Amino acid sequence: MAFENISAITIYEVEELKELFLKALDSDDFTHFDMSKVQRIDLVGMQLLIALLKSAQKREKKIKFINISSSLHEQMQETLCIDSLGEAL
Amino acid sequence: MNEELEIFLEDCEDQLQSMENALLQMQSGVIDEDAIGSIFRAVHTIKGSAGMFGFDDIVSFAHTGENLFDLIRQGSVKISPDMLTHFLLCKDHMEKLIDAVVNEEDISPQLEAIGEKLVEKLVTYMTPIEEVKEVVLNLNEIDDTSNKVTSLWHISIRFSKDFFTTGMSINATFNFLNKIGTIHINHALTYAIPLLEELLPTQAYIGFELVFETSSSKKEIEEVFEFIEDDVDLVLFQTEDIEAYDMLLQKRKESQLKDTLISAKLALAENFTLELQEDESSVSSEAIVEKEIKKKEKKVSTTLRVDSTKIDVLINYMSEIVIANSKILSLVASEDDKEENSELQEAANNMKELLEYVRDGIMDIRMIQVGDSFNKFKRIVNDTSQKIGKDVEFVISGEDTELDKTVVERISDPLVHMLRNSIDHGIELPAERLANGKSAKGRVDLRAFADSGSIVIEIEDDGKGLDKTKILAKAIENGQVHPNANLSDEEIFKLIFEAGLSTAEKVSDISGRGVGMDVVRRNIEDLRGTIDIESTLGKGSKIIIRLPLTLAIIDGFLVQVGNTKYIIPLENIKECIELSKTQETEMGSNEFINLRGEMLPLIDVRKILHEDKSIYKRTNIVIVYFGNKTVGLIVDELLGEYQTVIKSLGEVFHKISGISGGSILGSGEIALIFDIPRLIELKSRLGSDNEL
Repeated sequence: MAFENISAITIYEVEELKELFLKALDSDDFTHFDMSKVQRIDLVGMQLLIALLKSAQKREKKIKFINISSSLHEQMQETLCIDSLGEAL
Repeated sequence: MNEELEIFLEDCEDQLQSMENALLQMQSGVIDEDAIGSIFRAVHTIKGSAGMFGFDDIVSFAHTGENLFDLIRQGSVKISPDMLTHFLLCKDHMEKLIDAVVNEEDISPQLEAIGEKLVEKLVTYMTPIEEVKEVVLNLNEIDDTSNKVTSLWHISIRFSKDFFTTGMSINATFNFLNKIGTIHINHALTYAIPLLEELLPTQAYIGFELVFETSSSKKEIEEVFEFIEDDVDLVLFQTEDIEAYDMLLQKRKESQLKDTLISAKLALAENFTLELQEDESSVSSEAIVEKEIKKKEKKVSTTLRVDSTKIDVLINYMSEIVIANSKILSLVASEDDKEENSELQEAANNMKELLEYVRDGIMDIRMIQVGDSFNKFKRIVNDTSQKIGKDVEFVISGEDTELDKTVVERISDPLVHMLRNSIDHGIELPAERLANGKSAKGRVDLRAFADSGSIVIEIEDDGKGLDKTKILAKAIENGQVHPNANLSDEEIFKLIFEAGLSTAEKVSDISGRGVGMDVVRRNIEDLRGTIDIESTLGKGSKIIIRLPLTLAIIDGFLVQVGNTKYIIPLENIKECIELSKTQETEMGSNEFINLRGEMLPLIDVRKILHEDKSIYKRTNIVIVYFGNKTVGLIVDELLGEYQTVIKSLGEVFHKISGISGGSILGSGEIALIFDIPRLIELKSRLGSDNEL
């Protein structure tokens, strides 16, 4: 899924994104999250992605985060929890 | 404005003020870790709070500033004078953004454009320097680890549930750790993060376990967490301390922690001798909860924000109670059978005493330290002196002096005006100062201190001083002084407070138009204060303002003169004496007596206020003082202490010098309150024969 409108996954967006992801989890199409439009992420955003992966796993779904820009990857690394996204990256 | 927004605004104002103070401190050359930290925290807090309200414009603007000061904190960027000046502009911009959002106004395109330009320039400062030669955060010392013995530390981090909403960031802390050592292993604990369905998105679930190598001491590592210590539960121990691992398990009470630590190679299996008894799935430990409760208890017990109008209402009621109680006291005192009513009298006196405590308590709530207000002047002095090319050192002292909130607020504008005058007219340009054998940098002092029951505020500069010949000539030219008048230096200096008198050769947009100083004097007199000037040509001037501690209720002393009752503020009374026949004879038609070898000037209240002839056999003198001046007031009868609620006499009686207001007595009579500073001033200027 492209999630065209998501440009940031930070504390200011997480409430809204939780609802969006929950709806998406019910869809069969949600096998990947195209992050090419995402420019910012913080630790709160990383927590949200980890929770998303946990819920996907419970539904026996695999989600991949794709098209991560180098700048976003760097921000993910700075949170010191990028490894927790495991195979989803 | 709703309550949350009001709190947001107040918090932002505090943060902006501390940011400005720190920037000005650094501009004056004192660059230290505290000032840098203070700016970082201020921007960070504003960003965090604004984020909670969804004020994205403020968040994104503050974000750049925060990044810059984060880099400075880490020692990657060096502070420059230009950067500090620019950041002051950024602070002003933030203030405007905050004003706009709390007033529910749209950010204007002009303001947006200014913001963009400010950000563009901020970004240019962010280029990291190759070598930080100047010690900013004492990092050189910390970085010089090559020859020091290093140790391995285990750092265990848990956050309070609200950590993310405090606006603080853990990333800056990790970056700083990397500055003083190396994080060898970091492991994010995600087992406490629930499924998306159960996730409270802004709540902190994550935790961290790190192995960190450094030559820094435990205290130095703990200091890295100083900014976030209230919201972080930290466990720190050396990895060689085997027993500490068991203690960590016991403290955290997390069933998966032991296996996680072993599998992530953060600990060896043999490090643990205990099995965890309690299963606690939440990463937020009890310790944090306890800490939060303690923190909240502490906050509640120490401070409470109260709308000042509520205190004003309380003071109004208090004033009415004082008047009502006076009536009770006077009724009790007029009872014929005093013995029978002794219990009533005792109760009434008891009530009077208790009311005094309550009154003092309420008045004390209104007392605020002048420091906050004074610190705001730093910026004004800074901007004014820069604008006119003068170099001024501004020194504040007595910041902890307390004064009634209303007085502090109302004195602010007059002080700004006088400070601007000192810089504009007092302090000379650097070249002129050097030519006169002075240092290029001028100095302006702003002091506050308590003295004789009043508060004194002084503004002193080491500039060129007042030219009394010029002032007098101008006053004569304006017709304000008779050409033959014989005025003392003090009287001539005080002419600058007359309307329309400015001796400034050049009118600037800062001062010199002759409007303002008369308003300054009027404002101070409205507060029942006085203003004096001392000045030496070529050396500088000192403006001395004396203000009463409170405005609403005072301890007074009731006296009778003719048919009227008068109140003298107790704080101005030195002593009361009876005018003896010998003294009266000696005095004759003079207006002074010899009191214990010293001359005491007298004011005959009956004479100056047209009171009827005294029916009393005895004449009393109440000796009053203000500052270093003393006079005796001739009155008929001394009636004793009286709690006085000051009431305005209104516009009609506004011009009666020497009377500051009225008070309603228990009997319903009106008593007039003497304005002692004015009376003393009038006595020294005119002599007591003149009527008020």
